[in-house]
Amino acid sequence: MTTTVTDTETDTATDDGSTTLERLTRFLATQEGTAGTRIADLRRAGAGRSRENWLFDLIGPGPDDREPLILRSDPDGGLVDTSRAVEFAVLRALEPSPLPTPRVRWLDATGEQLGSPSLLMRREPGACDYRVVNGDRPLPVRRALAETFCDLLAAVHATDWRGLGLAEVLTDPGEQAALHELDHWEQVLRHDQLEAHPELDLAIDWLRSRARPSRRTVLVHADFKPGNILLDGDRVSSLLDWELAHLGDPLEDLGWVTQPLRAGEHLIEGSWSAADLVARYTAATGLEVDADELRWWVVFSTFKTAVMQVSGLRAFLEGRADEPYRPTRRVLSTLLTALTGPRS
Amino acid sequence: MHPTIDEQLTGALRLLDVLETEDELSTASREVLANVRRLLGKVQRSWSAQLPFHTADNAALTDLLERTAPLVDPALVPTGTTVEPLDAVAVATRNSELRALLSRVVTGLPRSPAGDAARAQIGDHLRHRVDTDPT
Repeated sequence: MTTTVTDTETDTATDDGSTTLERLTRFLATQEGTAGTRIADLRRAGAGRSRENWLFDLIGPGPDDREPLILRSDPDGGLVDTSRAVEFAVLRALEPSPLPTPRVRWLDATGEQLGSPSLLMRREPGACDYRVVNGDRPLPVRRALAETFCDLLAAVHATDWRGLGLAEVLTDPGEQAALHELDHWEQVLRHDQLEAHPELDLAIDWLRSRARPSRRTVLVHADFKPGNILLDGDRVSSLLDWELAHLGDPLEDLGWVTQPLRAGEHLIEGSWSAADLVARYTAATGLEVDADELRWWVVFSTFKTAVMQVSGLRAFLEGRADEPYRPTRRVLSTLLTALTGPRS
Repeated sequence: MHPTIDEQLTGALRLLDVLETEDELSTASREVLANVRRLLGKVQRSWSAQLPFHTADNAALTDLLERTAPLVDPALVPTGTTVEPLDAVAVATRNSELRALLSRVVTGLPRSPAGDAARAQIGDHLRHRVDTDPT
């Protein structure tokens, strides 16, 4: 089993890339199905140092064999602390499903070989554009895309998670999904907060007193957005970033996509409102959405965003991240308005 | 008098402009530069307003805690700590202490009409604070 790299193929790699290339070469040499292959065209995905995704092609062993791949590694200081092993297991379990998910190939769960916990997956064609529904395409095309995304969310929730064996990977919170998620994100807050945040404590108090039992348990993506949907032309080629996926209440994803903070990513002013989205989702899933129940998840989504910013601030101050995150006025103001209602 | 804090920050931002004209900067370096610029800009916009903001917020927080903390624990009512009014760090530290007390009050409020009235007052205070925080 040999995995080799030629000098000319490393031209685009930076010094940092050279380290990745060396580790990747050693790692792949120990994996099944890599005999006679070599790495080509390794480059960092995205623009900055905070991103730890690397793109490359695995060439061979046949003369025409070329597999586009992506290496996804944990950054030192991300906004969320998630498990690559769980993400790998979820994606592997989803492979027989009709969902457009990336095919995972190999896993370094501990990071012993690749420097940090990492997974390698097949690279699908297309590009992500987080503002696509409010981008340059004509309105009918954008509206159609928004509907497609809504249908994709409904399809995620229709996944037969028991049949696919996801219960062996993910915890089923049962009807206590709301409190389960609140407990989890409060724990993240307590771990990462450097000072008191009475705004977030007020939100926890509000959420805890109003949590309702969920009516069904589904596979929740938990970061559903156009920025995680790979489009090849106007066709969805893959739904990415399953690192936060879990079992829970379908309204969690619906709250995430209809929260005011993300309106620019999911809704089209005058053409595709939150009510339109919910109506289409209901038509696809048969789940009648109660406005108060959804409001709880909208508030929760804003709270979760604020907690992520608290985590990001800590990572920045500890030198683990270069992005100067902080709980922003926009997020805190949106959260407090949601809790206390519009100003009189 | 010169260079003033504002002049020094303006100068630092101008030097970043010079650096940004370099053709050989990598995309990653440009991203780091943009983050430095954001941070310096934020400091420039807020440094002179921090002390009066924290001073006013400390007074409002003390008043709020005197009204709401007894519902949870009278020990959470702030004591008459003396803080040097022109010591910006001491005033900011006192603000953190008072906010920590407020968090403890929020966490312990009873489910009762009085508790809900306190929540409403605390919500109003926090909304005003978020709207006016210069940092």
